[in-house]
Amino acid sequence: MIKRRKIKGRKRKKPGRSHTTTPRATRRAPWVLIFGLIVCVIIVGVFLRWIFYTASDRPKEAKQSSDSFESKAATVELTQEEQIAALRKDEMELAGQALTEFPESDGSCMLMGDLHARHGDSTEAVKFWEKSLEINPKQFDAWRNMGQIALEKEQFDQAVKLLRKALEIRPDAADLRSDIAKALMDSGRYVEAITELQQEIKIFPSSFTAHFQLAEAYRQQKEYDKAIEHYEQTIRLEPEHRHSHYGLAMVYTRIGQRDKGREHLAVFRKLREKVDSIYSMRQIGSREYLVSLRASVVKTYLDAERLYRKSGNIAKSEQLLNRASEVDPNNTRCLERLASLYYTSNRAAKALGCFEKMARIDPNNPISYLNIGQIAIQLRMFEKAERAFRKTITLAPNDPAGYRELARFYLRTNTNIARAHSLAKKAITLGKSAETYFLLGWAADVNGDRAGALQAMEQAIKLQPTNQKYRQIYERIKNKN
Amino acid sequence: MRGSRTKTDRHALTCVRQRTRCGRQIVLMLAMVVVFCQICPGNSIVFRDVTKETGITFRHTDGSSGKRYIMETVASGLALFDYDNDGDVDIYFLNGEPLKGTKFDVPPKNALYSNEGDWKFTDVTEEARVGDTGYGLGVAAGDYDNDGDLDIYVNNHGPNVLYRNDGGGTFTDVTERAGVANGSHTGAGTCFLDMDKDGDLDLYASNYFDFSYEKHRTGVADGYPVYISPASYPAATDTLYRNNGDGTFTDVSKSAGVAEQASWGMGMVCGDYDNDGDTDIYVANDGAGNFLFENDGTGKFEDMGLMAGVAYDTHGDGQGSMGADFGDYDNDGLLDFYVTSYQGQLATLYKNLGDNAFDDVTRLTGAGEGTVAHVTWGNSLVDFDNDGDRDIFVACGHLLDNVDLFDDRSTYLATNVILMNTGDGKFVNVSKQSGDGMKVKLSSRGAGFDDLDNDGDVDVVILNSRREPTILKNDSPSEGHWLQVRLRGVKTNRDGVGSRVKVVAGDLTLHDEVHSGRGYQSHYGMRLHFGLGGREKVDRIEVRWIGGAVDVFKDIAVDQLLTITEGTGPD
Repeated sequence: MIKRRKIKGRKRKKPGRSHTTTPRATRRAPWVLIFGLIVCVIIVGVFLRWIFYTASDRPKEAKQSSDSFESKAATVELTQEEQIAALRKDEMELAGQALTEFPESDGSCMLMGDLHARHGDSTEAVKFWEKSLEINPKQFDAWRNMGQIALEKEQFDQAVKLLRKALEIRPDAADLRSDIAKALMDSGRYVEAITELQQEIKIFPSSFTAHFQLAEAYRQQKEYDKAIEHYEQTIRLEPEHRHSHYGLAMVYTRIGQRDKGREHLAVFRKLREKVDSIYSMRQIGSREYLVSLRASVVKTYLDAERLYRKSGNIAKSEQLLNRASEVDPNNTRCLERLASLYYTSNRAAKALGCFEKMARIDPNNPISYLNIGQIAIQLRMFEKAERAFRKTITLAPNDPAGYRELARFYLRTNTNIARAHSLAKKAITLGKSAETYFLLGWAADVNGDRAGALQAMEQAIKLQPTNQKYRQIYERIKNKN
Repeated sequence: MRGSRTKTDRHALTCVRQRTRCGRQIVLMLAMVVVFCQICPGNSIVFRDVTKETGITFRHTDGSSGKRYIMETVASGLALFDYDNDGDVDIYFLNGEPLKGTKFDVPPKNALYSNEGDWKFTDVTEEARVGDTGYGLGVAAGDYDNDGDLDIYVNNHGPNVLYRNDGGGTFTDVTERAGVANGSHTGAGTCFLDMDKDGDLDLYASNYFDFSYEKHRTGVADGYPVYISPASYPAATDTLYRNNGDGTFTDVSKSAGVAEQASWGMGMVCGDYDNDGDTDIYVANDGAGNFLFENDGTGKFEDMGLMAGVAYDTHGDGQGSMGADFGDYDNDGLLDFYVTSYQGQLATLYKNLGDNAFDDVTRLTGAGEGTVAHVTWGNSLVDFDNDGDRDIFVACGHLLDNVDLFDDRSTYLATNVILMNTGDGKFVNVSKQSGDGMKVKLSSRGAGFDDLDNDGDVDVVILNSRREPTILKNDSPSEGHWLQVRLRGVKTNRDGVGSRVKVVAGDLTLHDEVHSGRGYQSHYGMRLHFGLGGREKVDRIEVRWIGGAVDVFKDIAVDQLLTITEGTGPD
């Protein structure tokens, strides 16, 4: 028993409670408390979620806002020349910063080298590419870039040597043999050039560049039949290839078929520009240059971003991508990378925003809609997802991806499963892959076509024999009564 | 001990061994030197810079004010010709004029320097009255009135000028009377030619574009302001004037067929490319297909450039064509074209195949060596070492005066290029071993090639943008023989412009033509020069006069300047 001492002159209060209670209030009190507690928890939860969800963004958003504000302010206040100077300074500082922060990285050397090359300083560019090769002798781009500089400077033996080094690293690199062939042809080594080009065509039979160069080599060797054959092949691959028409005109004239020569010259005349692009550098004014400079700056940002991402500095990576996006709001590469970053850091809604922006910039790109659809499903925005997949199909009616994903969507949401079946069938006619066969199997199964389902699953397993999921589903369908 | 050697013996043996080793090393070095000499072309062409000795004080201006008006980039040409008939070749330099925004205390003007002999020249501009203050771009000399002295036509940015040579060392501006002002185009190369074989010289003026200050703007290269390209201005049609025979000309551009297409005309040369006895016209167009106007014999022309394969390079790409010359580089009797061009492009050698066709043989012959890094201008196919084949000289220098800031593949100032003909249809770049004259580094434009000191080899005069000219004395150590031929027409035009000369010396047969106006907007070489190598006698000279008559001469001595008068004989 609890004894209570009465203190004279003071009434004793019990904490948290009214000193006077009624029986009804006493019965109601716990429920009020519980209700109050729940409300508090909800409020705190929402508050915490808001803090947590936007914690990493808010400072950046604020910074982005201020950056945007600054850049907008800059755009408004600076002349074009001042903008050019500011962007170039920006670019150079970023490259310098990357070099300082990643001194042992071939990537930072490549970044600086590429920047110098874009700004006409090939000597400095080569120094940095050479440095990158000291760190990573298998840096393909360094060998190739140096080879191309040597080619421009008519240092043909050096060009061949450097480009062949690049080829050792990536024997299947497109157009590399064509560059080697050019160096060989320009130094009069036509027989070797022909060998290189024949090899290029073996690997890339649709390379019109290789066919054209082969034609030119044969023309120089006066093997006119072979020259004609390859000029014509070039035109089949690229009907508006005016140089091939010129080459054919010259060949036909040499072999006395002047009428045919005139025909091809007539086509050549129609196709050629009145003034070739030799003076394009001197054609452009400040406005056009600013556009090309922005593209160059964005490339620097993207190259730098790759370095920071590789080192795990996602925050910096995101900052750079956002900045790049401000510099060139229409650059879809930035948006694509940003979307990827958001997606991998579980910010699907932001990723979705990026893909939607990409779709606005390039409304004819089906990939954007495909990505929109896939993310929208995750965010349970089903109508948006369905619309996006339909758009993918409209834009790329011969690509199985749109049909496949729409089929998957219907199957997952268990809506319109008959349509899912026909979509999966359509996808298979356009491209046979394990994943598409799997979807076909799934769709056939839910539509009661057991035989069809088993057949499709067998194909999926054939194409991906190690996929256990396919085997399990196959067994399940097989054992179903 | 048996078999042992004394200290003295050992010392002697060591010395012998050392001597033998030294000897072997010396022999090896000598062998290397011999091999090296055989590989390297050696110093068979040598130029010495004698500019300072000449007394020439001319300094070119492009009239620039920093606004970067495009015509500043293409100024100017020059003329080498004997203005006073005293037997030596004089020099006429073109000059710019103040453009909008520029002021000069003394207006710049063209300058005529009289050759006093022994590498001394005197400024006779004032006395001769040829100090045109217009913006000079191209020039040609020709005796349009057949009075025995060479007149001058200047193709300006703005109205052109025709100076009639009055004899006695003076000229009169007869532009208005002659009717050859040619409006206010921005001009380029110009040539005199007898297009209709009527015995007098007609006149072709190539036009670059139609400029106006209102249309002016600058370009941007990597953030730096640069001169805009010519394509920013409307192309202009060229002008062909027929000589009426009375001191006046008629514009026959349209009826002759040369004005059917507008383009950005630059250097030009006239010559008989198809060997049919009339004079055709080749115009280098900047950034567009070059023209080859084939003459039908009556002064009507059709552009055959594309069909003949001389409009573009071997791949069908347009070139920033600048200067054009016409000469037989491989001694096959067919004259070939050599055309200079922009940075990143080779100066191009088009081999004449006969049958109205040419092949771009630049790569095959090495005729573009050393040119791709530069903008190339004045040029010629000249036998500098008198060995019987034509070498190539190319004047170089960028037209973007700030290119060094944003493109390290080229430079504003550049040394020139000399390519030696090896005699088997190939060329080798001997610029680095051809004397101090090839070390001059300026931004060159027009170039002229003539025997300025009458010593039997061809010298060089170069006009450099914004600077003093370069005068190069040919000091080649060659002991090859030579022959120079000057023509005197009687029924044909007085200087035999358009006539073909064939020289046969033993196993060597050489062909050349008299041109008025050639290279980069310049004039030179009316006195034909033939290098004969070791041949000590000329067996035969054949002159095919424009208009058909042929004169033949036999057994001519070498190492002389021969003046051949039509229908008579050599003096």
